[in-house]
Amino acid sequence: MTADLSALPLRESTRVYRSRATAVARAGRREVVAWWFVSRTLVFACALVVQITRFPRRRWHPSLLHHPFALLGVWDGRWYKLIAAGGYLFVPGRYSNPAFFPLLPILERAAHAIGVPYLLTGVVCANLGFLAGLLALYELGSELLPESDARRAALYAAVFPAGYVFSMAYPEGIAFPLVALAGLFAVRDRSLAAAICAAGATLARPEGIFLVLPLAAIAIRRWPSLATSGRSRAVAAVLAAPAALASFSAYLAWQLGDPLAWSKAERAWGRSFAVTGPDRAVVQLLNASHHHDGWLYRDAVSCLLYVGLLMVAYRAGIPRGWVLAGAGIVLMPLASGSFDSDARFGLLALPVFWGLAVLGRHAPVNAIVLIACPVLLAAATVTIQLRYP
Amino acid sequence: MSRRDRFAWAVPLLAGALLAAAIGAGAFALQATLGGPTAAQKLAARAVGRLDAMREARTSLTLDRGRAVPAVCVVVHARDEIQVGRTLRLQIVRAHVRRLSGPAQRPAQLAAIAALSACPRFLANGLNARLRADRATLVGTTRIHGRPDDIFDVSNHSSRPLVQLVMTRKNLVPIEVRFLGHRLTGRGKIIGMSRKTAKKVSLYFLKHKSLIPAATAP
Repeated sequence: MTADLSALPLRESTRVYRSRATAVARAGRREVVAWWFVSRTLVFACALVVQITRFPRRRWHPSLLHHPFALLGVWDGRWYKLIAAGGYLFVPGRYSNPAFFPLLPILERAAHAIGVPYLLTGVVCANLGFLAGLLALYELGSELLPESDARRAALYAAVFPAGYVFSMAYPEGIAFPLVALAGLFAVRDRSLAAAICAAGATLARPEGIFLVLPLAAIAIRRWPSLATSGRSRAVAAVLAAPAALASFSAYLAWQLGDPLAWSKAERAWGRSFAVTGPDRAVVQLLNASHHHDGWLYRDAVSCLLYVGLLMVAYRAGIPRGWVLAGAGIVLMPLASGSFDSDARFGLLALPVFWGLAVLGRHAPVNAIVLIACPVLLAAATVTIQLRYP
Repeated sequence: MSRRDRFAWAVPLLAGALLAAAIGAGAFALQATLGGPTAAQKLAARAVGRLDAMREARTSLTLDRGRAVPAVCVVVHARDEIQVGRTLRLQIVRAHVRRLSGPAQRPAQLAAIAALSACPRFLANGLNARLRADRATLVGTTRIHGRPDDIFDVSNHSSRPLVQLVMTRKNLVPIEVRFLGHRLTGRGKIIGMSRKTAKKVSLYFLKHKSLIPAATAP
């Protein structure tokens, strides 16, 4: 429905615009919620099928009655549960839990205190957090792109193949909304809320530290128009993520006597940050077939895809701060010497979804994404047991 | 321009930094709600690190008050190889013991000999598995050479057979392994081995690789 707004007096036309914008936004939110529901139903259904059919490990047969959706608590989910139950413990040279960040275990422990099982808390937090994240992504996207692009970005994120992680007891489900909300609050001039979200995102996943870039860009742009109190809050928003990271190091120093225990624990998984990291990552990729590690190609292809989409987002006018943060999130893991899990890490790079949404302006691309992504999402969920995300 | 105006830009930076520090403190307080490891767990984690740093062990093992037999365990090609006395030769792959040569043994006896040979990695794996499963690791204290020593449980299971490792409290040096089975008990006194000797033993194992039966060769 269109209206000739020029015929109306100015105040009247503004009111019509506003009410139309509100109606569009409401419809957009409804659509996002619907796609979240459909995509999560798909993931849960696949998880149930895997549990019933015991695919691919016949020996893995948790009871459906006592451990429903056990598939969503495997791999790192167990590590987070260990932290929630007994805190951090660093075992030099061995796989140990300081490699995992504390926000999810904190939530799991708090819920366990009132009788909610660890796994249930992890899965519920991840799924509800993801819903909040999709809505925040949509709202933030609407501030940076046309509404239709923002809506498509949120829909694509809902069905993104690696997005099955958002239903697992992994911290991505809570880091994703916190990253999007930090950006949204900063754009809407609510710096203190942005600071708290940035700190929360960093406590959930180390990638949260890259929020410094977009938040700093927003603070610099707004600086001349801000009063002293506004400037203080903007500075706090920029520094909140590093402060949260420092608090984690301080906590590890207090508990384990080593502020870098999280980085040292990563070494057991073959990750250590070095200048030669990208070289090692490429060598590992080249030797992947010799070591029967074909799954590594999945992460490498995802990495390439993310970089391409970041470039599309940049050309579509997404602020440089966001694109740089996305590039940091996608490429920084390579400095640790491996492409491993980059498909999962890149999920927190919001401009990836905006880049995909820009490509989706073309109807065939939109159709391909909306058909292929759910299929790949289902396939990825079914193969969780074969390879960690 | 007054002095106050000149430093006006610093006020929001300072206030912002303080605000961020307050958020960081809040984050720390939130993390403090997580439980911490017990002193026993920390000690066991250090013990795992200590055992991982060892590449070999020499023991004098005794089974059911029999006579003491020397045993040597070294890491060969990422596997633990054990020489007991002159004839018996074992290999540990993960938690499985395999006889490579020498007289046949009952499974329980084979497990006891393997445990009492004090292969550092075998013991470290056991201790680490217990840590990860949140099971008791430090089960008691004792005095062997007049100094206080700690007893760690490194068994796979909570029931018998139990494998215990005694380490000095001061430096976490392994000094004894105890095997407590249903019908079989044993003790392996760990004897220090110089790096030179360890290298010699390791080379000996490598040189005599042909002794390993074809079916079990790597």
